[in-house]
Amino acid sequence: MPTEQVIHAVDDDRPFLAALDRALRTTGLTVNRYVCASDFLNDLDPDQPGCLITDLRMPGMDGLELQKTLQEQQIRLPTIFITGHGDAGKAVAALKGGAVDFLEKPFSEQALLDSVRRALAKDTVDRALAGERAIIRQRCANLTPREQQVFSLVVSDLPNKEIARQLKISPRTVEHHRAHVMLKMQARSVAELITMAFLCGIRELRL
Amino acid sequence: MGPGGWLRQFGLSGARSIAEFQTEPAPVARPTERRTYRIGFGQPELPSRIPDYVDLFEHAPVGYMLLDASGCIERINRTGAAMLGWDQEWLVGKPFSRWISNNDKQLFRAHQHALSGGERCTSHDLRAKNRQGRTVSLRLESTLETNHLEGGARCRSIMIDVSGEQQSARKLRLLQSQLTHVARLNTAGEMASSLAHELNQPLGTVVLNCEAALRLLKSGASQEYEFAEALTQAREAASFASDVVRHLRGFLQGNGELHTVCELSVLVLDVSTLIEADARDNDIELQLEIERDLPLVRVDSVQIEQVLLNLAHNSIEAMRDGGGGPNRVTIRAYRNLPEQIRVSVTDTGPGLGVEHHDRLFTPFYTTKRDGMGIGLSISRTIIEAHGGELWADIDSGNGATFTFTLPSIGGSPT
Repeated sequence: MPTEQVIHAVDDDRPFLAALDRALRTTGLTVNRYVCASDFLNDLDPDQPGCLITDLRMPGMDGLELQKTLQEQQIRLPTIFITGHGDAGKAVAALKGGAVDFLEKPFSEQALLDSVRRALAKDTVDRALAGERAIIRQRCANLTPREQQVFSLVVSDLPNKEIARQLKISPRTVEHHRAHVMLKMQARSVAELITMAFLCGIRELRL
Repeated sequence: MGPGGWLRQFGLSGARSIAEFQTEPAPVARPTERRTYRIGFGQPELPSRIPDYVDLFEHAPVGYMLLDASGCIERINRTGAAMLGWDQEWLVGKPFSRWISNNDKQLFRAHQHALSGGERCTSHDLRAKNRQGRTVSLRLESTLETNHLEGGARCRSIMIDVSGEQQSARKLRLLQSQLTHVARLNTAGEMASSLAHELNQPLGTVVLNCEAALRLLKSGASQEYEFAEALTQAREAASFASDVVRHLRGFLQGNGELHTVCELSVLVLDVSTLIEADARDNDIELQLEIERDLPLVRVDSVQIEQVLLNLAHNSIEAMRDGGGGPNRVTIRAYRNLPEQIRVSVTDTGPGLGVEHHDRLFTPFYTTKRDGMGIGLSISRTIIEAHGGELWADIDSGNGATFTFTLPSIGGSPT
């Protein structure tokens, strides 16, 4: 699996793309350049860590369409949008679609590097979380249906007696299942179990 | 003379419809009429019908009026009196001109003059002030009474309240001018927006390349190739940006392709037609002073009309905001030098403060609440592209004058 972070830059304005490439490359980052969105999509390896910088207005597939396509393919690549002039409506749409940042030309190198750094950091966290999530899902799948029921009730902060009442089994049996859940999930405490439940979506985070 | 007598004498329009009722056997009550008159069947006996006819006359949907030779009201029906807001009896003997608004008194004199000059029938729209002080627009259709011998000629008038009609016409004009304004804003907005986009592309390239070059220089790393490339590409992007600007200027200046030889007076008259209604709606007098035999000019007539229209609209807007006083826009066209024509637009509005004077022609500078601030700057670009000048003389508190010059091409219209 590739580990090096790569910045994908998509812009139909070639001189600008070259400048973008130079700015990032001479600070030690790796850049892949594309003059259109479809070239980028053909070339993309979803397992390659990194981020995307794309122009908003492009002939053919534009920036927002590219963002949508990536979402449909469930590719989570932190995205920075750039545009020739402020377009409030599109900026809002881009940010709602999960854009990390929105840069308006002309922008300083510092603004670009800050955004890229944020995007790459986000990608690192995203990928780490995705890995964790996959492992937890795997462990979850090894639970028996009864254990899964107990799991979801335990992480809902219910005492054993209440869980026993709801499942119409004895509290002793609940304790038995509970011990199995902790073992199979490799959780050292209920708090850790709850964190796992959040990560794999068994318990919704309520703020 | 009894009521029947003068009714018959009152004549043409009113009496004509009564005559129709008398001769036509068909029912006269139309669904749209509010009142039903039991007349028109069989052989009417006139004396017994008189109250009906009086009723018909009094409540007709239009005002009827009889004016004596001196223009005083001799008789007026109830509808007519209601238009003026007074009792019928009180109105009798009063000069009708008393209710005509000051701005239209001259028009009323022209109306009377046309009749005494021999026209059989004349019609004018006049504004009148009623008892409540409200201005009503009346369409006055008058005919001269021919068979009246003693005491000079009397005139019979029909008054129709056209306030509603004029109001909707005014509303329509307002909507039309708003539409034009929106269209102009759109064009200007689109232009500004696409210009911003066109310029920000190369500027973005310039900034990134320069910053990369600076960083490389400071770091002392021997990346001479990158350094030179960054500067080369920055220079290319900068000249691309200046091409964009040059292209825009060329677009505004039009390369002279659309220039035609024309008479400036024709352009001024075209524009005055366009703003006449706007001026009238705002009680502003529009005055044209065009010197005879002005030499011809070679211009893009649409652009020059645009400039004139813009200046005249500004004047009207300036006076609309400030109230009171006689408001007037004067457009003058005269020969300044043998080879130069001057056109000026003067208003009697509040003028502009000295603080605005220096910035009037700056793009996106405006003193108007909903202005874009590009009218005058574009106007100046257009005039300068024609080899002329545009400037403002501001007499604070005493109106403003905008003047532009255009080179003439010699020779005068034949």
